[in-house]
Amino acid sequence: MKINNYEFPDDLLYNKESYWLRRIGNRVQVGLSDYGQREIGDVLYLELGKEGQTIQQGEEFGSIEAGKWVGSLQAPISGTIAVINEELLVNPKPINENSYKNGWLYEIDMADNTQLNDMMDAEKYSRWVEKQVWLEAQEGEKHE
Amino acid sequence: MNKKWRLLDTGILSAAENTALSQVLLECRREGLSPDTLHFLQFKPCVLVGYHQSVELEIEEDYCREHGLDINRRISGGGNLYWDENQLGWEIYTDRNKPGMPARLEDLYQYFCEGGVAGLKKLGVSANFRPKNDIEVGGRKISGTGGKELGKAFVYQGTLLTDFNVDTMMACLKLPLKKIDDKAVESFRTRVTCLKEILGENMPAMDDIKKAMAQGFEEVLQIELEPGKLTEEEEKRLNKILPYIQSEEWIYGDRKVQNNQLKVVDYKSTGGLIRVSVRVDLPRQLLKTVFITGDFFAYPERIILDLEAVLKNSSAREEDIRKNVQSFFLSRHVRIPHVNAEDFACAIIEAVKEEGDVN
Repeated sequence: MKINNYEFPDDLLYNKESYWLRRIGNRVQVGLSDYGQREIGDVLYLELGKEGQTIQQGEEFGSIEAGKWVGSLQAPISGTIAVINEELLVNPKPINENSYKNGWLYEIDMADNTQLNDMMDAEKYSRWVEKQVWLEAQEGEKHE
Repeated sequence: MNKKWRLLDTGILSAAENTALSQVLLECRREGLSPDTLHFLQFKPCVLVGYHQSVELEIEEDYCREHGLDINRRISGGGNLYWDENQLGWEIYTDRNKPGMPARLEDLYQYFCEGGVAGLKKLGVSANFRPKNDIEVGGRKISGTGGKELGKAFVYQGTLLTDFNVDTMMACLKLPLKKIDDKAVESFRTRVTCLKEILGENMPAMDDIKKAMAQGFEEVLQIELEPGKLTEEEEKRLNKILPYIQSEEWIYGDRKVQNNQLKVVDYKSTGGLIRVSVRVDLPRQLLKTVFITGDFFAYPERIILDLEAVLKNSSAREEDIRKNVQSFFLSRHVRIPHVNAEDFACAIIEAVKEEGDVN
């Protein structure tokens, strides 16, 4: 699904922190949505936590730096980090250039797959993004 | 009615104490235990790397040891810094979701930098915000900024160079200066300025500088500052976290290998020689710093400094360099006789391709 020049594949789930989730059995692959990566800007550095680390939904872990701003990653779902995308630690460019393919961040073995029910499908997420873009434009005008 | 914020002035502390305090204030703000705060801070002589940087690659450690300069790591992003008691640090602690707070980071940078700009104007300094996140005077940087977010809370940190020793900075930080001549080193000095250089004998006392800066932030953020102290909880947490921030584990950390290379090239254009010195993070294909000198004539002179600022931490890929340089020249009124955007792009691309030294 495409909206406002953003692309949101139909086969993924999304949350309001702009992470996408791709379900592979009881495992979920996580990345930043097209909207999320553009909001952050060009990612310069990244820390992804450790494989085997247990994280709770909403928990902050790791770090991400863009334009001298350091933020945390936020777990969209509870579970254990099974695999991290090591290549991004050396070169995080795919997060901005190909966020749905080799820009994935990590894979997590879910502790509670009912948490997936809280996620949005591409259509619902697109509508949410549309609203955010509108709100940001209003805010931007105030600061111009 | 303007919202009341705390004005905190903790005076001169060590690099570790100030870093620990930043972390504590941010955590307490996230938990709702600290009020919105403008914090003034000063440092005993030290060098700091950005949160994700590697000390080995950014700092001349031997020089720092010999001259008693502390080394530490900031909680915020950005590059290496030299600090001493004469510089003023400012920090803003608040929340992202406050009404009126810009949502986009680029707007947020400008919003807070404008507070610093307003403060400097009160001191008679004609300062301006320069994207992405600097405050400059006549093209020369006087304040750099960066931030860190934790939950909905964040800290936005800035430096204000008041009486700055550029020679010490050049000695203790790894900068793109090796292999270039004295003239170019002299030119590097013009990249930064400080209040003393601008105001000379009219340089105010530090307390007056703080007062002017506080007023600038009050006006732009539409807040009322009330002097306050650290809370008991903040003090308690500060004492608890300090040993960790003083430890090698924090300072040297577990940073992924970065491979910086220093490369210098002389490019002959029809309008003159363009000398480009770049530090490139090879695995990330990132231009960490770009330093451009030469015998061409640029009008206005500051245009080269602005181009360097735009290219800092941008992509080192050929197509991206060309795109970024072209779009910079298109967005600005630039006159450089017989030298065009393509010449600068080619010079930088050649420098990136050049065999470099690990730096």
